[in-house]
Amino acid sequence: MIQLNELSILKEEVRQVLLRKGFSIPESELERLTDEYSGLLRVLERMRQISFAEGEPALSLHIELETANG
Amino acid sequence: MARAELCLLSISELAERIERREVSPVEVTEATLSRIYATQQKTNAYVTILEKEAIEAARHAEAEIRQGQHRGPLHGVPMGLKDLFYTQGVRTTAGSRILRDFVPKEDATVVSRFKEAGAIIMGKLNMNEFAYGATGENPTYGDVRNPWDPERITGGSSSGSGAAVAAFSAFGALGSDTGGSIRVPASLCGIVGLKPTYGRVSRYGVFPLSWSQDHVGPMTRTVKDAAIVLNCIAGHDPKDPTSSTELVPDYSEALRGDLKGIRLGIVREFGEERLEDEVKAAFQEALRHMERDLGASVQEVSIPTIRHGAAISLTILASEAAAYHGHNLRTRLMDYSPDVRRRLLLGELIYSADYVQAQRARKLLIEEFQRAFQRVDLIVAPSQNVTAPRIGQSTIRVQDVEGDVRLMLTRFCRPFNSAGLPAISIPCGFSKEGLPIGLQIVGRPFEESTVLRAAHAYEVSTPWHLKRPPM
Repeated sequence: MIQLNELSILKEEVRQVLLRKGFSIPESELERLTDEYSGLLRVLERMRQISFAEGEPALSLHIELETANG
Repeated sequence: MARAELCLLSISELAERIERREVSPVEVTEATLSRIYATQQKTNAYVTILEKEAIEAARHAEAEIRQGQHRGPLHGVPMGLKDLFYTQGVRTTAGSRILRDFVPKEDATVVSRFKEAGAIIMGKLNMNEFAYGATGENPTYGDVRNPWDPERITGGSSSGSGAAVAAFSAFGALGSDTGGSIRVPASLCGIVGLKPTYGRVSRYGVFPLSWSQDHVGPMTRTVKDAAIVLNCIAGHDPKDPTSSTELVPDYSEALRGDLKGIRLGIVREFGEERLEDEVKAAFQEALRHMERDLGASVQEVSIPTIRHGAAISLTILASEAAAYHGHNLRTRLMDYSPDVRRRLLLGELIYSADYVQAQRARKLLIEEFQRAFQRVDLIVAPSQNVTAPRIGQSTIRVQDVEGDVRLMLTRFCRPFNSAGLPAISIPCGFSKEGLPIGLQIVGRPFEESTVLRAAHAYEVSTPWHLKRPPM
């Protein structure tokens, strides 16, 4: 579980990233966005743990065709 | 047959009567308009009702049929369109305030195909803003309400399509599906929803949400009707570079026989998901029926990467959606509703390395499905782990664990978008409260025929599709 102080650090980080990108949103929305972002970070963290075989799978320009054609 | 009863027919039943000139397109269009006006206040399914245009198109269809020019099973049949399909000269909002006054200059390819088939377009159907949501709630055009219980959501994002078809105010509709947006409302509204293979149906003139996961497909009351609509819209479109040149079979031809010889797979890792008791019981009974009565065999398959299904799908979706909406986000940020604005900004926060990693994981997922489909012909799964939640409900408790409604509703759907596989949701039961429960059947790429065959065999041997909502 993410701690309260970590959440406020994350909120500040989110604010700064958005400001750099030219976005400004109300404080209440920023809080909710930070909450959802922390949830997303948790699932991303798990996804980052996936062990891929050496160099595989490599991505190619054909990914959509591969998706479509199995 | 009384005019009101006409609306209760399926597309295939209506088509036969129209071809035999027992029912006229004008008569059934007028009956559908009456039904729309009778149900609209309860469901809020339509954003735009095309009364004048529909009557005009019906008169044209009637004249053609009278002259012996019957175009096929959609000729003279009243249909609806999710409001993200471009319609020439007709407002197309994508459920948003930003596009409140947008009037396209041309039709989406699927809309052109509907018109060529002689379908009568009754109107544009409500949806989640820019298809970015799974509940059917919409702060600009109002929430869509479930015909089985108006206090409950329809599911989304093709919410109006689900409600209109279930409430008999359209014989069928087109929806789009990026993470379950056809199958979620189909399941919660007790109808049939088919997400075809990626590239099977053109997306030209369809507002994108996530280019590599968006699919267009039919929402109907029977599997036979889904095959009829798919026959009309499937096939290569030179205007859509992602559309496939794979040959299109006659999907209606596939709807025969039982499931003898069909090997069904259930995903072992889905077994780790929490399900409402009634959903679990309905799913297990559906499996037993397909095995015991219809002759299928059932075995377990393992798709380990499906545990990361939500992360893969959401990372790709959020990144692609943020890219598509980049200009409007920078110029009209506050014109998005708070929920969609937040989801789009989330996409701005995702690192490029995570997007790439999600694409790599997606490839693993596809490979695992390929291996599984060497052992089985179809995969079956619940469509959702819950029945329709109440409007405004943001979390739901399943087996003592509180979860986010949006994530819960799409959990069993998303992996099949990331892998581009054809997947259908059909009714497989009802809860004690009278709410529909959906069963998902998934096939190999471009094997919609096998998916439809199994779905049809199940449908005609069970009573679920015959139940009608109380309204």
